[in-house]
Amino acid sequence: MCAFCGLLGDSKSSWLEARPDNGPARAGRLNRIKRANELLSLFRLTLSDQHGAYYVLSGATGKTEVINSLGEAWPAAERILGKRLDPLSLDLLNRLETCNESTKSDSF
Amino acid sequence: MNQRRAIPFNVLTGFLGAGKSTLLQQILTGAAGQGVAVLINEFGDVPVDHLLVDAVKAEAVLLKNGCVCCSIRGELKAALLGLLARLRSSAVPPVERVILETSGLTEPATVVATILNDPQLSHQFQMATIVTCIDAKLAAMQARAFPEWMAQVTAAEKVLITKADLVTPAELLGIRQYVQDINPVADIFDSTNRPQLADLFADKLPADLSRFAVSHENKHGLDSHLSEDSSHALGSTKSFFLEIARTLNWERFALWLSLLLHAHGNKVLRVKGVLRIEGTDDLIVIQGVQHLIQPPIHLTNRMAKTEVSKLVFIVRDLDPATIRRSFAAFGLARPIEASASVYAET
Repeated sequence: MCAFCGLLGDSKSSWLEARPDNGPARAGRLNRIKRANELLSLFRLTLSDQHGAYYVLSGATGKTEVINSLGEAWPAAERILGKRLDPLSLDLLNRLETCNESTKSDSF
Repeated sequence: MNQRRAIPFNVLTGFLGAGKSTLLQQILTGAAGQGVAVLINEFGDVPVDHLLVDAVKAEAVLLKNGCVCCSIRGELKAALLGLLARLRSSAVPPVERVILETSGLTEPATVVATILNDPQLSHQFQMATIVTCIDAKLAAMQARAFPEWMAQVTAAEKVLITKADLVTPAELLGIRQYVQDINPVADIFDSTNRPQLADLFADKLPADLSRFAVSHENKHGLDSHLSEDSSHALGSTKSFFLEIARTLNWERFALWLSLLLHAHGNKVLRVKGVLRIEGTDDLIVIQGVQHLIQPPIHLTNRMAKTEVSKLVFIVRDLDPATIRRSFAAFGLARPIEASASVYAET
């Protein structure tokens, strides 16, 4: 289990509950999903909510994984994509930088 | 059980013979030791340390011998739950703090994992300061020879250089600088200062963290120091800062860091940061050991002021420049170039 499970994935997260910008829990959860998708889309992955209880992570080919928290996203993503994900991979970084350059933005 | 805050759980670690038990004996004697429960994890057949500390703290609990990496989790949990049971039945006086003295071969991450990952323990105990003792005479040799030594020093919030009277002032200064190079966020004491319990084991109070938030300027000296000789001495272990001039989106940052730790957690020895996060005026403090991140702490602006987010990484066999590049490529804004890193990039 990843260390961020408790921070990102559930209502027990005191950290997220303590955020002053947090509105209703449901809205906060959907906002987290939206933000997470901004990054997951780099890998052609989509995260969706299921009844406010768990998440479904989907790949471009239709493969899906049910996860309980965002902390489980990366192992699930690797199973969906069938490869190891390395944020320090030079190939990945080159691709991301090219993408960033084409959108004329280094942020989202 | 009565509602109460989680009990601070300190880890006292250090290589074999570094003086952990002696330190405990010294600082727990007298009033300072009241309300402190001590757990001891011994490695070896003869629990000498237990006898030493037991004379000071009757409620010390000896964890059965064995390698911590493979055996401590269950034993530590059992010992802590046993302590809670004794507290509930008033078999022992109220406990304000628990200190675990690890064996000399322990990597602190295994202890942190036990506390953070176990639902029972994580509700009852709160990870507090990790204190590492190092032997002034043997530090240089042990740093080269034993990866456990390096893991203990990089995980520490406080480092105590023991037997400091056995080296010259110049040698002591060199050791201090060496440790500071390895772990820029650690407070360093030496035995000649006779640090007290509160100096070493005090909770990670916001005031303490705010010092980190504003003290980055003091670290700039490392830019020049961490080069050639010292970088050679540090081997494959490097520490560096990321400094970001704008607020961060928490979810994006957390997912990036989560991915980094998922892929390279065994090489990220330590991460600590004070972050400006979108949507809040609070500063958010994160810290972790290897792949384990502790629950973030809020700092209000009354406690610390910084216009930038700052992250410290201590890594092994990873290129800081690539981490910086990844941080930017994942849309987390580009770190400030001029002062972002203390790593002497060649």
